[in-house]
Amino acid sequence: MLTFGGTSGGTSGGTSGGTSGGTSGGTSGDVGTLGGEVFLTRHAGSPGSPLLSHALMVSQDATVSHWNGDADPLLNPVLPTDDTYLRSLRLPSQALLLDCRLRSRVSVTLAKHNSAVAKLRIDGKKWATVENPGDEYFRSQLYWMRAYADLRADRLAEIFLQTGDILSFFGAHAYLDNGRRRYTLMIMDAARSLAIHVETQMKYLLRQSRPIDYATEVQPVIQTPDHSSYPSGHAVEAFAIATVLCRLALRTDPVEAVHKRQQPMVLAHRIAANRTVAGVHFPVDSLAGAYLGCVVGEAIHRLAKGHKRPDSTPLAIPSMTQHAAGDATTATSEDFLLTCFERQIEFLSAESPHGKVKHDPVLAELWKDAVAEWPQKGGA
Amino acid sequence: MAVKYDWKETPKEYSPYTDFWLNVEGNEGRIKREFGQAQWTPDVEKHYLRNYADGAAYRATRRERSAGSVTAGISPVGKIPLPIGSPNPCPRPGELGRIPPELINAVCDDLPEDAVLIGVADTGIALGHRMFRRKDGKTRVISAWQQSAQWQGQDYLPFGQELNAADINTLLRYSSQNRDLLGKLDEEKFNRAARLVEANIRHGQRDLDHLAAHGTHVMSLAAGLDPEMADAALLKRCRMIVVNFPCQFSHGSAGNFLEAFAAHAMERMFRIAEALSERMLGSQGRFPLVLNFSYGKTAGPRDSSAPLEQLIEALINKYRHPGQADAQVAVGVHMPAGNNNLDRGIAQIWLARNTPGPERALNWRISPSDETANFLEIWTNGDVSGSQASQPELPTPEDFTFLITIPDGQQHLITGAEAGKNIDICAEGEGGAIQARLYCEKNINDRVYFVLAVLPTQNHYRPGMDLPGFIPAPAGLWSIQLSCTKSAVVDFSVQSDQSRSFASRTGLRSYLDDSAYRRHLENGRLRDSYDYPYKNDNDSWLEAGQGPVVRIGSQNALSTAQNCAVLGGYRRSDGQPALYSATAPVDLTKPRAAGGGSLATQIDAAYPTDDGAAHFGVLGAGSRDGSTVAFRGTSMAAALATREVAMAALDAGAAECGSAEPDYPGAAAAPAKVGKVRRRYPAGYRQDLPERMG
Repeated sequence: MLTFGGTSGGTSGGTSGGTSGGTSGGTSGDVGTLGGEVFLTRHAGSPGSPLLSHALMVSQDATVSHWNGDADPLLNPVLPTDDTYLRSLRLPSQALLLDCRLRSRVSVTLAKHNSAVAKLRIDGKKWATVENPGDEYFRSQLYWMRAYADLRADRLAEIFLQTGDILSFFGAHAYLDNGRRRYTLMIMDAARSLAIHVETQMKYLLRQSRPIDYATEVQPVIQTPDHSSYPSGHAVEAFAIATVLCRLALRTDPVEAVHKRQQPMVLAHRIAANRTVAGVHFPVDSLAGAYLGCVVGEAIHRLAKGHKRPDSTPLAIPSMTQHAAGDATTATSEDFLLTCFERQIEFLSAESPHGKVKHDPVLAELWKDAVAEWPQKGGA
Repeated sequence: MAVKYDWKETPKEYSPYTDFWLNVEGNEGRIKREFGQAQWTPDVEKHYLRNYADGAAYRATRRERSAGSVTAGISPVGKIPLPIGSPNPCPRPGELGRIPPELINAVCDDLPEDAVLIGVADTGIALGHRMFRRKDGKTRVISAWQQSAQWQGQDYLPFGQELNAADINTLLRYSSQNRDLLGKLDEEKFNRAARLVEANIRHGQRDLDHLAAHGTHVMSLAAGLDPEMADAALLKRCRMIVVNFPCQFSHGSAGNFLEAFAAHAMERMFRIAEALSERMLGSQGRFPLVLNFSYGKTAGPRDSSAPLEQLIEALINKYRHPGQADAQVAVGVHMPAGNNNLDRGIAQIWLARNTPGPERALNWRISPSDETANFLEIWTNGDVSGSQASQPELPTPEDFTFLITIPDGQQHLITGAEAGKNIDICAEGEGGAIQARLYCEKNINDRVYFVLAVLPTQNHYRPGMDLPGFIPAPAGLWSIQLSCTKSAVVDFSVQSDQSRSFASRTGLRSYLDDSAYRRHLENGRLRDSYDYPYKNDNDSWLEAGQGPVVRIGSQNALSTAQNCAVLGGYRRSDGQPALYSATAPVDLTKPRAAGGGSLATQIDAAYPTDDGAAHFGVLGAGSRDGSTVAFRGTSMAAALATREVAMAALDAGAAECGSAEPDYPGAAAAPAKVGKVRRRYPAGYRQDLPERMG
């Protein structure tokens, strides 16, 4: 999914590109969530153009007269050394800075002795472990592809819109815009970007064929993406966004939020399940994506607050069950439901005693601003 | 070309539909591989017969009929398909049908003596909705039988699983936030735990996964009450007995198996009501019981002789008179009139003695790409018109000669029919593939009828696939011309046809395609059977140049029993009878000028089934608690009638807005469409609405 637009365009961007791309495009473009170009080209009074540049050149020539290169004694070029400097940046620039700082600390690696296992690391420490369950397991999931296909007629509009936009659906839960919830939006965008950073690498390492590769009957109602099925990118992003939103707006950790079936989590599950309905993901893709998404979202919270990391627990793939059906034996495996998901992320409600995490001051400031956008009754 | 046909026996334990499904469409093998069979063993039949041996007669086996005895029982449909694991693997006659004491015990402490029981048999009834619960969060449902759920060892059931009130409350608690019945319900968890949804079972019930489920909507109309607004005592008194039918696949594309499930459902609901009544009110006491069955079929005898109709009559009579001749209690079954008024599925022709039918044959159009079989029922009657005796001589099978022309031009001249036998209509040439089968039967009233069953016109079978391998029948016009050695009146009905699954569009409805049938009025609007405001009928019949295909007589073929209330639909904004709402049968055997077309009153009343021309359907509950969907159809009318009768029995609103006819001055509606009266929304439903829309 697209993160940045502009003339250097998004994931398929450029002058005609990106999911909402183009010369001013992308999610941080003129029509993006934070309303404005990242790389500013607009002048104080009008957009940049060769004409304006020429006029400025002529104007400078006519008005400056002789200048030998000395500094102007009336001007003070010193920038603040404290966090007020952050505030002097435009929102898209703050978001870009946040994104770069988060990405630089997160990596994805293959396990040393098992190329089917990938680990999410922050500052080199393990936060999550995901294993590709293998070809037979995915075959056992085809049953769910058939079952969920029946729901396509109900969900076609959601499926189509969610190929490019999931934030609008979270925006139905609480007021979200680049005015009074600007920092919340920024954090949610950062969560999504970090999720993409993680999922892209996970998909590359764990590489799994799509449902369409197993049966011609799947016939997805949207185009199957070229990258790995496992884990589901939509699930990673949706659950990452849901986790930070629950932290900010509802003051709950992801375990409590899933347990209480709070709306952002229920929505995240639906967004993930819609990909199975569409025919482009197996339920286990969404399980792995949800697990990673909650870790990503929770990591952002802990990096902001300087809390300790959890004692990471690998994702436990539910076992297959063998059934006798007449003369044949078939294997089935579980669906992805929030009911079964709770226990997978229980480790996120605790801290490892040795899990000190270096907080990020930029993130901390922005997180504080985001929290302040959700005043609770009685303060705090 | 006339071909000699050998009429062969139809297996005694099968209806034509079951025989066709198993043996011609080739599903016998699939039964073993994919489905469990809930078989009608003689012992099971006898058990169900035990209480009704004095009651109605169903289709008896031919052997028993010829011996002079008549066996009462539930429709001998024979094998009915259910998911593997659903049927009781070893049913014991002494156990089947028993009402377990825990079902009664779960409610006897808080079921008032002035309670009213509402029975709802449908597909996809959500048990977790607030509107089916009380102020304390407990369920108002006394029992819920999920017929295709995996059998859980309940010996008293032939298949499925039944939950009593305590079971439902336990599952509600288990699935609610903090195990608090008033906490937020995780409906996904509840539905799967209660086996209302079995998505992991092939052909398991899954209606509640969709945004709208027929059964939930119907029950919300029939029995839904807001626990925050309704009186606590009313919530306690208004209780439900629920049966959840299997998913659409198990109904059979012609609704053929659904009748068996419905029969079981009716029988179970009455038994439970009886057991509760005897426990709470004494052996002679009976709770008022209102049953809603929002289903139907488009083809059938329409003379109260269908097995399900006979069963309902017997059950009502037994419930109403528990040992005392003058014991009376409010009991009724509400059914929809049907939505097939405009489907071109009904025709009637008159055959003079030894004269072939009308010059043009009856044309039956079967679509290409149709993945479900098509059935045409042909019911015969003695001719009562003219100077015939009041008791007409019923024709016999051998009186009839069929000339069937199939779309590729091949003709089949068929004679020598015998009841209980069938012949195959095959492609040209020796050993040609079967394309259709013509069955001959007699019902309990000795009426001869035929069922012409045609294979689907599309089959995706490929070698190696686990699908029946029949060769599709040709699509197009199947032409039927009939003659009889006696005077006879013959009714043709195209049977109901639905796709194999809920969301599929692969089952296409066939229809009678006649050049004289006029679909539209001169002003371009769709033509109904009668004018509105009512003055004349608009249907084509018995006049020169007009053909036999009609709307009159399209009434639900399962709804003609005396004790069934039949409900039609109308548009609330202006009172117009719903165009799709079926028309009761009337006398078509005489010309209009001679008094033909006299009005019948088989339809009892009509309720709103659309709010307005731009307001589709009526609003009710969606699959998820708190959601609202609009459904259109006479199913809704039946549910609204159920509500009104129940509320009247509860004295909860009879004097309020539901009882009087709404005011449509100068706009009478044909009784064959709306019965005696158009009624408003009953008490407790949408009381916020103004009297008239616009």
